[in-house]
Amino acid sequence: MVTDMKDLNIWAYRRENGSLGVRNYVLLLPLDAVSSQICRGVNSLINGTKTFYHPYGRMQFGKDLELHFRTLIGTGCNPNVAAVIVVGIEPEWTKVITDGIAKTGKPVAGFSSSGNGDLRTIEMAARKAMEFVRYATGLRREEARLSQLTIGLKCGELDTTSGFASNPAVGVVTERLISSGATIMFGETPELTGAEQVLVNSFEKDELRTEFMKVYKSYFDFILSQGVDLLGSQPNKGNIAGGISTIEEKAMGNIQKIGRAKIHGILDTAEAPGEPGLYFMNTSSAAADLLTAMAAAGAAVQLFTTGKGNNVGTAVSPVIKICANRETCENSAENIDVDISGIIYGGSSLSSGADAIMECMARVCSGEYTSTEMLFHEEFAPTRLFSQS
Amino acid sequence: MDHSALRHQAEDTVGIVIYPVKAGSEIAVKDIVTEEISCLTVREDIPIFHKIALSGMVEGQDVVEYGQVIGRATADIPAGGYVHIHNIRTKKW
Repeated sequence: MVTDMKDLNIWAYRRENGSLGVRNYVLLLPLDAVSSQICRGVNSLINGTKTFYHPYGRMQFGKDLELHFRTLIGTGCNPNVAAVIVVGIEPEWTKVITDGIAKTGKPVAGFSSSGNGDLRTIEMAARKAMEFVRYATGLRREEARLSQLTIGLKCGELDTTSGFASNPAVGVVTERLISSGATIMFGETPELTGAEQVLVNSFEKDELRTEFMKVYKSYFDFILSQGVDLLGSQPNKGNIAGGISTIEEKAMGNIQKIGRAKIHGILDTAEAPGEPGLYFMNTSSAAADLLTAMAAAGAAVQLFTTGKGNNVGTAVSPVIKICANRETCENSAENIDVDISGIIYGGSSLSSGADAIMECMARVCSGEYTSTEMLFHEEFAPTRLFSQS
Repeated sequence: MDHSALRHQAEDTVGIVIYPVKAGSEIAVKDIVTEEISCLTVREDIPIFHKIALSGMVEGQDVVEYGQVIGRATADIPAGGYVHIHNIRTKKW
């Protein structure tokens, strides 16, 4: 008898705090839009560093500022990041971020441009970046298991093949890895509309069921309070072209990703999970925002199913693209890592589709690049709650 | 006959076609879990991966997929008919 593939060996980086990473970045982390330019300056001077642009980080306050800090600190803490240089305008907020990241025990340094100008800040940060690249490139991968990772789940440009094949196959992977002790997160609060009464039964305990319905209702009430509905937004034009007719149908397809696994906890946007298990994170369903939030919560790798094709990636965690739509696998081949269209046409089963996904995960988590990495999809989209002051 | 359509569950009133299908053709529908096959006559041309009515529905009737209600019919739909935003609608708004 063939037994299910429950777990696989990988070669990964064990960080100072015990977390497990599959990449080894020296990150130049801009606190705000203006400081992105300094990070780019350092990035162009020092080989082996990575950076990205984002437009926020000034005049934010209250819960919106807390979320921004949590997202930046979480991104620096991500186990794929070996060392971090934080750049801000003023030293105070820069120190909030460096102190948050320093708790992991990884090397971190902060620079502020106030009183230094761009060029002196670039020089100071570049000298520190060289020290960090020497440190990071001296690290070695160790033998580990897929089930020791923190993993994010997302679907994008969902179509009917997502609900029939790619999401249920990821559901099988979720069931297997959760039973082996992994930490897995999914989100997309808006896209649960119409399936919330089905999903609520997947929570482990009554308190979680009550809390989930509170989170969901608060989102739904917000939509109604705007005097609008989600027609025209959910399902979107790509979903409709893919045969999806209603938000309920999209939501039912969406929740297949968790299979029959039980949900162990609820997280706020970009909040890191504690003990292993399956977690629901309250997030937007916009792909770049969700991938950014999952990476900030510690996702070392993310599984992303697509129907009509969504080429999004994110800055600090590799995204594996899984597709069961044969047309997309052909017309956007460069964006797809795992083609499981055989499930639709009868050549393979959900179980063999899950095997293919796990084998790809094992390769990627040992160093192989994903399509999004080769194509430089390094989107970083922090979620905003409201306008700044 | 190889299957040209899939359904999630026996009680579903809609499934999907996995090739573009033409009105008048006889097709096999496969249950993705049990692999049970049933036959259906296509009533309208349907694009690849779009939905087909597995049983007739009258205006106002619930549309069932995944064994769950995914909307309601806004027109009468015959078995084998094309099902999409022109004849079903969300029940949320």
